[in-house]
Amino acid sequence: MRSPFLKIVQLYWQNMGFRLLFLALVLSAAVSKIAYHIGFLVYAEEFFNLMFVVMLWLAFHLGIVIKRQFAQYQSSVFPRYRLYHLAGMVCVYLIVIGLSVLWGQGMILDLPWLPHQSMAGVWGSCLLASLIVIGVGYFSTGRVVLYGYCLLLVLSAFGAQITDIYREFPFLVFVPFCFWAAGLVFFLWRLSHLNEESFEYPYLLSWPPQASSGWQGRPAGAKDPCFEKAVRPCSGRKYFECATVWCRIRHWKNSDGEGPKLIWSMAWAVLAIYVLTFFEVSWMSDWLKNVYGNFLIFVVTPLVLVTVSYYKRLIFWGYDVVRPVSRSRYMKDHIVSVCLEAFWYWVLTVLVLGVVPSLVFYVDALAWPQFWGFFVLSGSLLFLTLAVVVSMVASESTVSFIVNAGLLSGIVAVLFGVSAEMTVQSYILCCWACLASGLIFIKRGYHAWCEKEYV
Amino acid sequence: MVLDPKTSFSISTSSGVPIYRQIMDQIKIHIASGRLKENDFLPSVRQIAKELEVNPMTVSKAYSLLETAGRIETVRGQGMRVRSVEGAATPLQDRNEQIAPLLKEIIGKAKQISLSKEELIDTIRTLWEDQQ
Amino acid sequence: MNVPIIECRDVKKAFGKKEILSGLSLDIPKGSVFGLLGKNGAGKTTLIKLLVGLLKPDAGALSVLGEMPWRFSDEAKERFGYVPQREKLYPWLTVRQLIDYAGSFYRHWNEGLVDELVRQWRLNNHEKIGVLSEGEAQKVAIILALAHEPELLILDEPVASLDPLARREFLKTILHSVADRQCTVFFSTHITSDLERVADHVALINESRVSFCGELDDLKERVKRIRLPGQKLSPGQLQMDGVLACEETQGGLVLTVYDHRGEVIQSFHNRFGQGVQVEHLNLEEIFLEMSR
Repeated sequence: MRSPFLKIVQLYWQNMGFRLLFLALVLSAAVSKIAYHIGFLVYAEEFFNLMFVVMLWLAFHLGIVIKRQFAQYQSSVFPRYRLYHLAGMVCVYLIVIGLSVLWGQGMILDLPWLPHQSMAGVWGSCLLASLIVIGVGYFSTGRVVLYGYCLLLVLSAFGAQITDIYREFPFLVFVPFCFWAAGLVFFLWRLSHLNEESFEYPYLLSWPPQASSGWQGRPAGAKDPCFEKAVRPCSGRKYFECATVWCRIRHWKNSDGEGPKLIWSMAWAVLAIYVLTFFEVSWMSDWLKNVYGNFLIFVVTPLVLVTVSYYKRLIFWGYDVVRPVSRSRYMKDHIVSVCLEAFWYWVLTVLVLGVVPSLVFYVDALAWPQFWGFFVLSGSLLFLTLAVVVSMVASESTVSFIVNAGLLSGIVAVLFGVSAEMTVQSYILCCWACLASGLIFIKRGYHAWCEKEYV
Repeated sequence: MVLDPKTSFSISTSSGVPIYRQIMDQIKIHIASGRLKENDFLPSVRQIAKELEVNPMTVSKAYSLLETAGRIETVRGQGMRVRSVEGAATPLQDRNEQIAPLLKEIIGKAKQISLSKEELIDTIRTLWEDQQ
Repeated sequence: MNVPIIECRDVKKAFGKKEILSGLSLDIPKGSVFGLLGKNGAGKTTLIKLLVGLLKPDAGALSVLGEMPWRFSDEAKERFGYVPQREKLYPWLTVRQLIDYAGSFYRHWNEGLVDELVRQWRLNNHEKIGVLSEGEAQKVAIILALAHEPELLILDEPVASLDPLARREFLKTILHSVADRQCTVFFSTHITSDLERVADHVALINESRVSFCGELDDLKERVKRIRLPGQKLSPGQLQMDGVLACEETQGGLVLTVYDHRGEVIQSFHNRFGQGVQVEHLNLEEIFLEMSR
């Protein structure tokens, strides 16, 4: 009889997302190692960065695959189910860790300013971080993902400072290892006892939506974060009485749940950053002062916020389309709504993380046209990215998805590289280019959505 | 209303016989047995449909077929009324019509098990007397 | 002459390489209660989604309320109600919030009917949709389709999740709508006893096409079971026109026939004389025989 253990490992391999990420990891590790040994250190570092990002996504995905295996009836009903699945999970985790250890072999990481213990401390922190990311994938509700994203964003800026700590206080090296080991044991224990009465069960099923179809949310005392939010009451006015597009957009928001509240969760992260900066905690102040280094933040943060709040509506699109609203009007309403909301989030982000810090630290910058040009460029790039996303989600062709995503990443990378040092004219030119192409994509996306079938 | 729709009609949806046929047959039985006399009014289509929980069109089909056969007639503003039996089949003929299908089945079965006509009539006679 | 409220001519629909409907034609008369029967995977849900405008036909002509469903006007959408098979409603809204939200799109919304149905079906106005059982969620979906008192009701397996009591109540409500307002009802279902009770027209889908479309009573008149006691099977009999199935049993032969004009049964009587026993079949048996 074929061992169920092997079948479980095969389960991971058959998950397309996991397979692609794993292959990407192996590939980038190999290229990085080869480049290092040949002597192209710059490429080695680039591919190491890629490998690092892939590793994060892989850990996140691992969390999702784990919860799918355990948050279902089979784990309580099938014999020896949990035993085999836990063994499989540990095995896969060790394989991925082993891969990074292999990568590290033979690499001269003993740089003079980086003693051995510090390296061990960095390893420990990475292990701990991987467990945290798996945990984030495991929970993967909106808020947890957002907090995790903020945390990692903040931490990633301070890699150098963290190694400094390990150099100054060598005994701290054991701390991350201990936390990691304890966390792993706790996680395994939790998984072996997971059932519908566990407090985290509703969180495990709340996303993706298909996961919760068989579960009724009734077990004693179980609460689902999705269900807790108050919704604004229906104003009593009819849709067809709305004369302007703003009014119609407000009407659609009558069915909104948790969405708008997410931004207040972000506010806490921002507040923390400000407080740390104010108290001159050494590494924090650099981050906020160097506005030009944070170009991606201004593009990505509004995009993430908008996607998270509109993803839910997308699921119920088929339900709404049968109402007495023509498709073209529905699409127009929603495209305008998405763009407006993205714009509003962008203004907030620029104000909070760009303009205000400059007001505090370097007021003169506000007089430079380049300063404003930088921000306007980020805004138009955001619009272009949004337009491409809208258009890509409508079409179902994988090829066009890959091509568009690749092109877009290329544009963003290039602009990121030069964004801090452009002349005013080049800012204006790039902005117009982004806005124009964005409009083209939006129109394409609008037509694709109007013709989209609901299978 | 002479006939109470709740107790006078019963239909079975899972028998093969179409529902309109069952209603028609039952009305005919009521007429033949005297529960429905000449010039009595039948319950309205909606009443029967509501009680039996069937499509009103089915009931109205039964009524219109009975009307075509001359058993009932429409009285404007008041509903359907049992027609005088003059122009219709005599009660005896009617009753014979009712029993004929059952008898055909019995005769077929009797032939199958090689029962002769005289033996069958004897059996009927015995059972009839037993049932009195 | 009844103008059909729904007309389909040679409708084809395929998903990738898999052809679900190949040249389907159907007419649904106004004011009828029309049932759609078919095996799982026969294309019932696909057909209904085509009628409602969620899918576009690959070929053929579709007309619902006089318009093409893919390009429904707002007015047309107000005139029909749709209950999907298993749709996820917004789980974070309460029953009342969802009903109000849906109601805000229709010009005509009968609040009294909504309250009546909520009371009758014992739903809790303040319970979140996400914690309702499947049957209760189905009831809410049905209320949403009935509340604006449409001319046309399209239901995809509407009673699949309801218990027998709820099913009876639902059918009664449907019959009320038909009786009061000349509403046309079109629904697909597996439960043949419900169809027999309320439907006057029926269509059977078999092998991506319609094998029967017409009055239910006609279907019941045409499909009959014939018993020939004491007869043996012979190849010639199987080839007779109209014979759907033929089986040899202990007592003789049992055949199922589709008799369009009474000729088939007459020819049996001519051939076998008094030995022919003719039986009616109920809809479930008819469906089984015609789906072979």
